[in-house]
Amino acid sequence: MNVIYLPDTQTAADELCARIGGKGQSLFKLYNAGLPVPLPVCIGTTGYELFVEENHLREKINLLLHRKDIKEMRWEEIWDISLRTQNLFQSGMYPEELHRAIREVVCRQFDGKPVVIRSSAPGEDGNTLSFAGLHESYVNVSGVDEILKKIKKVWASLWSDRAILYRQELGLEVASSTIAVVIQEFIEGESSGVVFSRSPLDATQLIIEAVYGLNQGLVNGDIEPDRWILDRNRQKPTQHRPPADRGYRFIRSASGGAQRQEIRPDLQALPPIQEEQVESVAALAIELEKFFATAQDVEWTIGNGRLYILQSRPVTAGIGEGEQSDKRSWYLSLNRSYDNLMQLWQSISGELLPAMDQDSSYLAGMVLDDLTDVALAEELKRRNAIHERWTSVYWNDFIPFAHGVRLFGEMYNDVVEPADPFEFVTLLTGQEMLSTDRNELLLACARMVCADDSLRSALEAGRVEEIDNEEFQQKLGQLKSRFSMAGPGTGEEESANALLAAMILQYGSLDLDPDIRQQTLQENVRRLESRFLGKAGEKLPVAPEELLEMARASYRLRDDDNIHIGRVAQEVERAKSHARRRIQSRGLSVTPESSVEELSQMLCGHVPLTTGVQRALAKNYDQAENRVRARQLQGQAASRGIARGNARVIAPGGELKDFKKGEVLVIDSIDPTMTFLAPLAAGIIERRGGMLIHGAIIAREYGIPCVTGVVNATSLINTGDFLTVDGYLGIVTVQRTQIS
Amino acid sequence: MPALEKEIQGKLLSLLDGQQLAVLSTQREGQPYSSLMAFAFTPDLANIVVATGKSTRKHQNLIQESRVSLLIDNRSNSENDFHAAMAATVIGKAESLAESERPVYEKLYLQRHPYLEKFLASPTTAFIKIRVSHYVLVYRFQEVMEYRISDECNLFT
Repeated sequence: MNVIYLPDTQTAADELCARIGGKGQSLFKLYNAGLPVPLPVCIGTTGYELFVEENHLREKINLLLHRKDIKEMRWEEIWDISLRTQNLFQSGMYPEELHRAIREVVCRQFDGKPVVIRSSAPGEDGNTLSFAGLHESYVNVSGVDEILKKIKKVWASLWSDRAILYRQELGLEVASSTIAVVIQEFIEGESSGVVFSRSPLDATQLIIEAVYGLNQGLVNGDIEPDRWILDRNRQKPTQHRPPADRGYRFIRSASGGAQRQEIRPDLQALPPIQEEQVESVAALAIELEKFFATAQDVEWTIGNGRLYILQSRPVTAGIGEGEQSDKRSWYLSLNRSYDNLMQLWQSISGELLPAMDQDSSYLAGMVLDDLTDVALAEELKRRNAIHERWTSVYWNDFIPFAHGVRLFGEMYNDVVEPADPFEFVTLLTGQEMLSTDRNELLLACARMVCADDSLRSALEAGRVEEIDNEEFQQKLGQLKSRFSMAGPGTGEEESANALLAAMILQYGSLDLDPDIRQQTLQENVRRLESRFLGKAGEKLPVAPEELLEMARASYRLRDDDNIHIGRVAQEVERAKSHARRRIQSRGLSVTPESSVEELSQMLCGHVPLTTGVQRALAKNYDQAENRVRARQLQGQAASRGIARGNARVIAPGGELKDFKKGEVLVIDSIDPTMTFLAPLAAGIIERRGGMLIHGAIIAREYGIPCVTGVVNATSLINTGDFLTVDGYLGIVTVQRTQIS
Repeated sequence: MPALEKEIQGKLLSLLDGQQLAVLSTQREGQPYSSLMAFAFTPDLANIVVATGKSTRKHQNLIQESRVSLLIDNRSNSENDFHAAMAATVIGKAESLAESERPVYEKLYLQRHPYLEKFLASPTTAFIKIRVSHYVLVYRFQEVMEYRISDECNLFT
């Protein structure tokens, strides 16, 4: 069985394309025609298949992919599958013969020189969609062991989150899908870029983009290139658009891969290629277009004064382009580079969060009683607009930054190669997060109650306002304002007090010692941290301490951002609640569902057509289904351990104060503003899936078993059902004690 | 009908429709006993019929203990089964057929197993109806749903 292919292969064209993929075949053609490409060596699809066979990966991947309907999976769950798949490949062993064959060809053809390793998927060429960016490529890889490792990573990238997201369009099936690998000598370019032999927008134009150094920064969008538009016929530039600045370039990193470097000031003033080079790149693109008889999108580089072709493929529409109907393009945009994440971090911590807190503090300080009805109506709209603005910042900046955790996870797994692909999450836990701070404060209140019977009876009787213990009231005030613990969207003082009283009483029965918990966590974190930093040393193209710090900020933000934005939301609720009271005092009926628009109209004397009352009636939460009962539900094991207890199902906007210690929390999705329930819970089950969602984060903080991504959890499980939560396998077993 | 109920009912119907044989479990004095049986079912999934020789162990068992379980699955005996196969465990009670209902069930049974005509007609063959209490359907490796036919107590609780 042939596994390794060189350009002088005698294999027939059709079979060759199936064995080494479109990219590999084009490179062979270019090389054989004497065009300037570094020698391509291909590991055929058989290599992937032998590896998969040896490690029984087919059914393992199938089990991951079929755990639930892909349409029901959130992006994060797809990433989880992809991460677990990568881990399967990483820990898999090469069949001996394959290992020997690859070692032998790498030593013979590359003789210790650094190489580039790329994917080449069969069928790529015939497609109208470009597969660009779906699979991984690695530049500047040295040493045969490192090359063997990276080949596994390219194979694993057949199951990248991007590929799984477009699984249907790609026809990606475990049984039939396969991938080849191309290895070439790495050319250390002084300038690099891309050229479109024909612009996708204007057929009379040819477009060239160029940057200093390697083209990594250009391809991932970190570095803005110089851009030339040429007239295709004359192959002469008609326009040159320099970037705003040419501050950085990517160069080879001593530890492998590429790294960003500042460009010398004298070079910054000059474009990365001169006019005659622009013309040679254009001429090469036209030659390639003739060679392949179709317009080409070419990656090129100039190294040692010579122009090389790195890749040439037909100009196609990119995957995910022009699709506004689904969220997949947005999901794909979450895949940010390290540099981009560092910039986001700066802007979030330096500007956005302080500005948002300033807004919420300003709103909290405003006395609404002083406003006339019309002014209150205006204030409501203004608050709503402020909230909407911050919600859009949340989607555009906070969520993408929170995915820094993901980048860290991938780098951690590369460096440490742990048996558990989610080990890195432990390294990020045990930090001071706002929600754990809040829970400590609740615990402090509970301790005061335990030591003071008068406090206890006041809480039990619901006389929270009457408590004259200053320290206690101060803590309560903090819980309400700093942690927006005012109940789900009610904004009412009484319900906030009732919730606080119920929670403090429940916390009184916890035997949780925050100091011991923190100590154990910190020890674990320290152990993993020193292991990571010890191994990362020379292996990463970025400073490992800086990467870890960014990942921690990203992890914290994932929990804290909702609390920050929760404060703004609470101020909208406060104004709404105020408006409702005024309207009700006139004998008109409103409900908590009434919108800002309706309330404003009513304050101004108009009666709206549809009211919140009607909408509340129309709201139809899934009812438990009669004939069908869940016996065992599968989700994702998000926090280890096993727990048994009665279910408490909390519907959206439902009463949190009824939650009792020792119950299993079953919820659609835990908002960080309600994670104070976590320390009381025996286990947590969440419909929303993922390892990094808030419920999972807080469950791990407290060591509570948690299963996420359970489809229809809140409709299939009823309050009172006896549950077993298996946080090792991600399984929930439902036992009913009573049959209706 | 709620969407999930419809989905589970659909899965069960297609599973039962696609299989000729089921494993029947009976017991005697606590000793379980399993047998491969040809079966037919009513479209409302409430009844399953099987036939067996009157002198067999399983028949003897059924006379003493009418509570039974059946296993019907669509495994292909390959590793794909772990993610792709479905299995239904049927919980029910064996009953003898009333003379009036026998022709309907005979037709149902022989439509699926025309080659068993002679076997069914023999006076030494017992034709048995299993009244289903509920199905326990397993799919996607570990997803387990119960589909109740009657409102009787769950036999497991």
